[in-house]
Amino acid sequence: MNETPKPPENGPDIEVENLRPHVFDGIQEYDKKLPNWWLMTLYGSIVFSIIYWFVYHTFEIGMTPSEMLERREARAAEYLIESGLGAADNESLFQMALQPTVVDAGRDHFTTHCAACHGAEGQGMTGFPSLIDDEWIYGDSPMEIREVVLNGAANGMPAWRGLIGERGAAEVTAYVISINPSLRERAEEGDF
Amino acid sequence: MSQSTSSSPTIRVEYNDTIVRYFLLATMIWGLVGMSVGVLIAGQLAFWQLNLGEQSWLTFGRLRPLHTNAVIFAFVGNMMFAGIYHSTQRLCKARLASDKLSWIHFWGWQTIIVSAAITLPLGLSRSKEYAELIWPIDLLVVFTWVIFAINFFWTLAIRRERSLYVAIWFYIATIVTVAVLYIVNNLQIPTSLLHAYPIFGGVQDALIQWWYGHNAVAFFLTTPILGIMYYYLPKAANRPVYSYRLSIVHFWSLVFIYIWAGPHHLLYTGLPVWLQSLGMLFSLMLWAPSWGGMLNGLLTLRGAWHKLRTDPVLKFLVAGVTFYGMATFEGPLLSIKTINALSHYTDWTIGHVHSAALGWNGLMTAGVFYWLAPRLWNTRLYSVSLANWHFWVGLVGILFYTAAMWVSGITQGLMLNATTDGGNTLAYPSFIETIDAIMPMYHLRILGGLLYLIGFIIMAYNLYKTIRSGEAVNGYIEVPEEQEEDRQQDLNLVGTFLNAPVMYCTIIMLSALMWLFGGDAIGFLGLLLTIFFTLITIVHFQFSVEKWSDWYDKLQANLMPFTVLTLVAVLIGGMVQIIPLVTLGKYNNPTEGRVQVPYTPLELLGRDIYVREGCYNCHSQTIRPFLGETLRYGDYSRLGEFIYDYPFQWGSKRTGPDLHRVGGKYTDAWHWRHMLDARETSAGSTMPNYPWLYRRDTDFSVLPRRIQVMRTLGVPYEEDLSERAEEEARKQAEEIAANLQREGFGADPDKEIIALIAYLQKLGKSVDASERQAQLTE
Repeated sequence: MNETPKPPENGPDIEVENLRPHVFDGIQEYDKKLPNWWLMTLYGSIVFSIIYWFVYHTFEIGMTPSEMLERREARAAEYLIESGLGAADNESLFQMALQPTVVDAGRDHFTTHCAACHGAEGQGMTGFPSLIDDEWIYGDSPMEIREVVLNGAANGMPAWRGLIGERGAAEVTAYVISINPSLRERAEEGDF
Repeated sequence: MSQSTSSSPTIRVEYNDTIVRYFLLATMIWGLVGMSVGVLIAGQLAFWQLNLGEQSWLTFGRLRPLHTNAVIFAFVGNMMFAGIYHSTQRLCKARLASDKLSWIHFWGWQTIIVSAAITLPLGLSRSKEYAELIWPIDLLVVFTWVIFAINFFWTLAIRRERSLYVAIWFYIATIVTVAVLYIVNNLQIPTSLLHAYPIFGGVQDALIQWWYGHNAVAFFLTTPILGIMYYYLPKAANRPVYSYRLSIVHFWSLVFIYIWAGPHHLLYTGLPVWLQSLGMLFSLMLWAPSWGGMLNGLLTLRGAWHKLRTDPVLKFLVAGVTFYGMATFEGPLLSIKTINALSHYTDWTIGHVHSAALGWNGLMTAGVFYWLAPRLWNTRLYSVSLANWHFWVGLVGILFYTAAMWVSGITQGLMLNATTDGGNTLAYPSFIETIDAIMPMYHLRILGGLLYLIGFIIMAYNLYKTIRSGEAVNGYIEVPEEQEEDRQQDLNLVGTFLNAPVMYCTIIMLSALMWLFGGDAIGFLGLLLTIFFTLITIVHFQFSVEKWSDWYDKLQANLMPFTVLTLVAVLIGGMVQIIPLVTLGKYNNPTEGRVQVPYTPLELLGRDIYVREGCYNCHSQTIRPFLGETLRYGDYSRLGEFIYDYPFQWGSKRTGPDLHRVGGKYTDAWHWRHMLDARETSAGSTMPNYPWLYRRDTDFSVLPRRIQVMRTLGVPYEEDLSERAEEEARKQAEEIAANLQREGFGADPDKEIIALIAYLQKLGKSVDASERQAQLTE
C-alpha cells in the first residue's frame, strides 16, 4: 500500500501502533502478532495428525475398529467359559424354575421383551404361539426352549442372545417353565 | 456517511437498502416459522401423541426436515443475504449492480422456501439431510444462487474501493463453495416430476452427503456470518479489527481445512478407515483456524468492553462469537473417534448444532438486526430494555437446551454401549429403557426451545415498533466522479499462480499427497519432502516478508485471482476424498466380504415409502463394530452391504434403534402391529402411528421408470425387469398379505404397509461377496 497512515478515526483513545493505513467504510485494522498459544494449538494439531497417521496408517501399529471388536469378542467368549455362564442343562433349568429370585428376574425380561407377542400371561395371540399349553413347535425340553430364546427360530421368533444374554435366557426359560402348568408340574415333581 | 474532501466534482451514490429491508423482514418471518416448528417437534419427541394421529404431514419424520431447512436456508439464509447486500455495498462504495437481479434473488429464494414448506410435509423428500428438497426445487435453488452470485460479483466488479476487505473474502468463499457443494450433492436422475434417485449410492452417497452436510454448516452457517461479524462488530464497537494477519491466516486455513472434515460424520461406518481418519484429523486441525475468527472478534473489543453494559448490539455480537468459539471447540472434540463412539447418534450432536444455530447464528442475527434496523428506517431502537430481555431469555433458553442435550446424549450413549457379564450381555437390553432415562431432559429441552422462541418474538415486536416509528431511508455516499485507475495493483494470471506463496503451497500439497497415497518408499519420501519444503517456506518467508505482503495486498485488490485461488483451496479436500472412492469400480472396492442383494420391485417401492416418511430422521442403518451394538443389533455393517442403496439411509441420530439388520428379526405380523401402533409390540415406544399406510394403495405404476433408472445407475437388474416389475411386485405383495391373513390380520396386498414390510424384511440380508460374484458371472 502506498498510502500514508491516516490518523485514527475512532477517537483519541485508539493506539496507532500496528494500525494499517487503509480504511474500509470507517473500519480500521490493526496488524497484531498472532498469539503464541493460538499458533501452538495450530502446530500441535498438525504434529499430532502426522504422528496419528504414522501409527494407524503408515505402520499400522494401532488397531482398526474391526480388529478392536474381534479382541473384545474374544475376551467376552473367554469370560463365558471361565465364569461357567455359558453352561446349562435341563436339570439346572428345571431347578431354576423353582427359585423365586430367578423366576422374578425372568418375569422382568418376559414383560419387557416377550409379553408384547406372547401375551402378558404367556397365552399368546393371533400369529404368536401360546407358552402355557402343551404344544411346542421346537420341543418342550428346557434346553430346547432356551435355544429358541437365545438364537430365535424359523417361524420369525427373534434371537434374544444379544439383548438378554446367556443368563437372561436361562432366567426367561425358568420363568416360562414356571408359568406352563405341565412343565411346572415336572419341575415340582423332579421329573427331569 | 463520509464526505469527500477532494475538490474534484463528486456524484452521489445511493445504496439499494430496499432489498436489505426485505431480506431482514423475511428473516424474521421465517425465523418464527422455523423455530416454532422446532418447538413442536421437540414436543413430539417427548409426547408422541403430538404426532397428530391421522395427519401424515404432521409427523416428526416429515416435520424435522422442514425445521432444519427453515432454520438453515430460510432464517440464516435471508439474514445472510441482508448482511451481505448491506455491507458489500458500503465496502465497495457502490450500489448493488442490478436492482432487477436483487429482486429475482429475493423472490426466487422466498419461492424456494414456500415450495419446501409445502413439499416436505407432503413427504416429497430426497432424504439427504439439509438437501431433502426434490429436484425441481433444487434447480430453482441453483438458479437463484447463480443470480445472487452474478449480482454480487458484478457489484464487486464495479466497486470504487480497490482493495477487498476481509468480510468480502468470506462472502466470496461462501458463494463459490456453496455452489459446488449443492450441485454435486444434488446430482440425480428424475423418475418423475417429483421423484429422483441420486447418481451416487451407498458409501459414495454417504461420503458426498456429509462432504456437503458438514460444509453446508461451514459455508452457509459459518463463513458468511464470519464475514458479517467482520463488518458489524468493529462498526458497533467503533474499534479497529484486532489483527489483519490473523484474518489472512485464519481465512485461508479455515476454507482449506473445513472441506476435509466431512467424514467425521461417518466414523465407525463402512467408510474406508483412512477416510475416517482424515475426517477426524482435519477436524482437529480446524480448531485453531476457527478460533482465529473468534479471537479477531473478541479482541477487537479490547478497550471497549465497558460498552457491553449499555449496548445490546455488542452484547449479542459478543455472546454470538463466544458461542461460535464453544461450538468450534466442541466440534473437533466430538470428531475424535473414541468420543464420537459415545456421542454419535445421540442428543449430544443435537445439543452441539443448537449451541451453534441458536448461539452463533441466532444471537449474531439479533445483534446485526438491532444495529441495522434503526439505520435502515432512520430511527432509534424502540426499546433497549426489551432487547435486554430478549438477550437474557434467549440465553437461558440456549443454556437449558444444550445442557439438557449434553446430559441426555451422554446418558443414553453410555447406557446403549454398556455391557455386563464380561461383555456378553447388554446392561440395558431394552432401547426404551434408555429413552425413559432421558425423558426429563426432553422436557427441559422443550422449555429451553420455548424460552428462545419467546426471546425471538420479543425481538420481532421490538423491531416492529422500531420500524413503525421511522421511515425507510437509503444510505448514500459522495464519490469522485472520475475514478483513478491504479494499474500498479494489477495481478495477471502469471502473477496469480507463479509467485512464492502459491508455488510453495502447491509443492507442499503435492508432497503431502505423495505421502498420503504413496506406498512405503514413495510415501516416506513424500513426508520428507513435505517437511523439507515447509521448512524452506518458513525460512524464505522470514527473508521476504515484505515482498509476500505486497503480493497479498495486490491479491486482495484483484477479484478474479482471489476468487480462483479460494476455489482451488476449497476444491482440494473434496477431490482427494471423493475421487478415489467414486472412480474405483463397485466390485473393486473392498466390500469387506459382504455384498448387498438388489431389492425386488416391491422392496424398492417399500424403500421409497421409508424415504418418504423420513424414517432416517430417527433410525440409523449402520451398525458400528462395538460389543454394545453387535449384541443389540447384530453383526456390524460392511461396506459392500449398501451398494444398491440410492440414496443411502445411514441416518445420523438414533431416536429409535438401528434398523440395518432388522430384516427377518421379527415376523411380518410383528411389523404389521408395530407400524399401526408401536406401543402394541414395544411398550413405552415414542414412535408415531402410521395408519395411512394401511389405507393408501401402493402406486405400482411408477415401477418401470424407477427400475430403468436403477439399471442406469448400475444395479444389475435383468433387462426386461422394468416390464415385469409390476407383476412381480404384486405377486410378492400377495404372498406377504396371504401370510398375514393366515395369522388373522386383514391384510390387503395393494396397501403401502405391505411394500414397507417387504423392504424392512430385506434389510441387512447381504450375501458372501465371492458367492455373489460367481452368481453374476454365470
